[in-house]
Amino acid sequence: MIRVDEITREYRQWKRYAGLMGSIRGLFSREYTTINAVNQVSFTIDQGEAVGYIGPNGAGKSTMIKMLTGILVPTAGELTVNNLIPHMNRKEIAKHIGIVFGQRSQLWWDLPVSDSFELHKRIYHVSDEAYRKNMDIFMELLNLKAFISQPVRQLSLGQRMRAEIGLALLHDPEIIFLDEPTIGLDVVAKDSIRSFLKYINKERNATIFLTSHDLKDIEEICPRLLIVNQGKLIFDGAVRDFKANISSGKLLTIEFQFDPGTLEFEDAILIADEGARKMYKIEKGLSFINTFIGRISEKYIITDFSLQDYDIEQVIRMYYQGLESESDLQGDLSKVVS
Amino acid sequence: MSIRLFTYIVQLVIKSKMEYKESFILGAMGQIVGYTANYLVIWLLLQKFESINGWGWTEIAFLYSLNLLTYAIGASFVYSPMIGLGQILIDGKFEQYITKPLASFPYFIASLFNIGYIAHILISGTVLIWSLVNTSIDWTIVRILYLILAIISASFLQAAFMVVIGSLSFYFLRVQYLFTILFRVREFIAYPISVYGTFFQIILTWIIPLAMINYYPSLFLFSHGSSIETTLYGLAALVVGPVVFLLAYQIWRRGINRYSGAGG
Repeated sequence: MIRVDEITREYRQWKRYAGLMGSIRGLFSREYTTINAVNQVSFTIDQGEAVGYIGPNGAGKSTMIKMLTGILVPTAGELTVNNLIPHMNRKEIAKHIGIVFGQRSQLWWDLPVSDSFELHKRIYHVSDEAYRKNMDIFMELLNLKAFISQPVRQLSLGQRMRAEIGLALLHDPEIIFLDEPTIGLDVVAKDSIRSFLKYINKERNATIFLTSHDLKDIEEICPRLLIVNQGKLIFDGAVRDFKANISSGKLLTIEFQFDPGTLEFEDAILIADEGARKMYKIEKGLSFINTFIGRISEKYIITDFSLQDYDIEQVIRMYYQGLESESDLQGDLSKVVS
Repeated sequence: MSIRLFTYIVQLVIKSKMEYKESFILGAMGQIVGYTANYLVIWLLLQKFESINGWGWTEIAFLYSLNLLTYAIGASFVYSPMIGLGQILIDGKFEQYITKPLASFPYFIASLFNIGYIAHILISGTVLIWSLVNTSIDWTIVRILYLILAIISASFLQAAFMVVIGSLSFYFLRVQYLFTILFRVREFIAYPISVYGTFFQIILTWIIPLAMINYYPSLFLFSHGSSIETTLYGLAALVVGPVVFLLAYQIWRRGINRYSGAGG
């Protein structure tokens, strides 16, 4: 269904110069540097697959979605969606895809949510029957019934995003592109969106292509994972294979009342030391962490601590640097994470 | 894109606007006061001079109103989308218009339709009708038809200028100052262009054909003994609007291609 073959997308960045004189010089300068936002990426996605496309900021995730949806033209390589070249068949492609950009709204700000749905019904020529059927589903599963007649400007972010997703799915698209659909949402809102997307993927066999910063989104919705870094595809495979590849650990941040000096332990690796605030990487379970904190608090006064999973940047950096260090077998994790 | 969908979107825009009734009414009143003052200035001028190059008060009022009315009609459709395009591109909000199974241009302009020009239309329409009743034109079916077609053509022409400038946003992002220039240049046609030298007349006829908006249609309607020249220019005024608009649309399309090729 989606075929991406050696796709590259360049940006020109005009050279800028420092200072006021520099800005005047910039007016006449034709010098630029070329940046490859997407660099020779290839993959195929079959109908009904759910794929997570992740990478740090600036990795070229949005650029890829914009090329797949026909907004941007690739600099080099071939790309087809439903056997069509997106940017040359924008109107045709649009009938078969649904798009959700987490940061931008398709809803009419001052009008009740229902008006935006009514408009999309007309834009996509959705039959009355299909419209009623879909609205029934959205009312229940996305709980649209709670706010369907409210103006969009009065909705919470979570409500808005649910409406946004329903809107993008109104015409039963075969492929759904979502760019950061859970950004800024609380846990409850994230949960309802994830389970809805899973439902759509299973029940309608719709292909899902999702970018996210939140690894949990991917774990729950997408069995398959693509990771990009600096424009390049560095991983393509099952999520569980990826997780087996990286150590599953947690980051523990401890704030001391006074700087205790350097504190090093065998099973808790010090990865960041800001004096009174230290961060440890721990690969053992919660009971270990409990005793670990207990042991420290006997000697020092702890004002606060927090436990977190790695965020996507850390995981990718670990994976990426893991690849590099495989050759020399020097998997020094403390360096990897810092 | 069907006319029905276009009007449905325009209805949604008006419904949105009516969420802020007070500011809408205040704005409309402000415009009516402002343009009444403009008319007053011309009237006072003509009280003193009686005529400008042979054009009396009612004829100048007609000339001025035809410009204002067709501008307001054209601007209702394209002013907001064209002046806003730069910022819409910067905010990444343009993408939604090119990812629908619709022609992006009509969808874009319908979504940003501006009902605020209703005040312009009311005042210029009123003065236009008043001036028509008070001139000595012999109203035949042909003349009425001519006037209707001239209004449509001139509205397209007014819109076309704005579309051309708006499309430059795809290249330069910020083009507001070009709109300011357009509005300044448009002030030339508040008076019959025969008051200017030949050079300006040529420019306003052939380079930036603003005179096709009101001057030549007025000549055509008011000329009692018809000369070949006024007839030809008068008829040209009926086609120049749609033609220039189609050219502007081509520039728009090139702009979109440029956007997806280099922007983002």
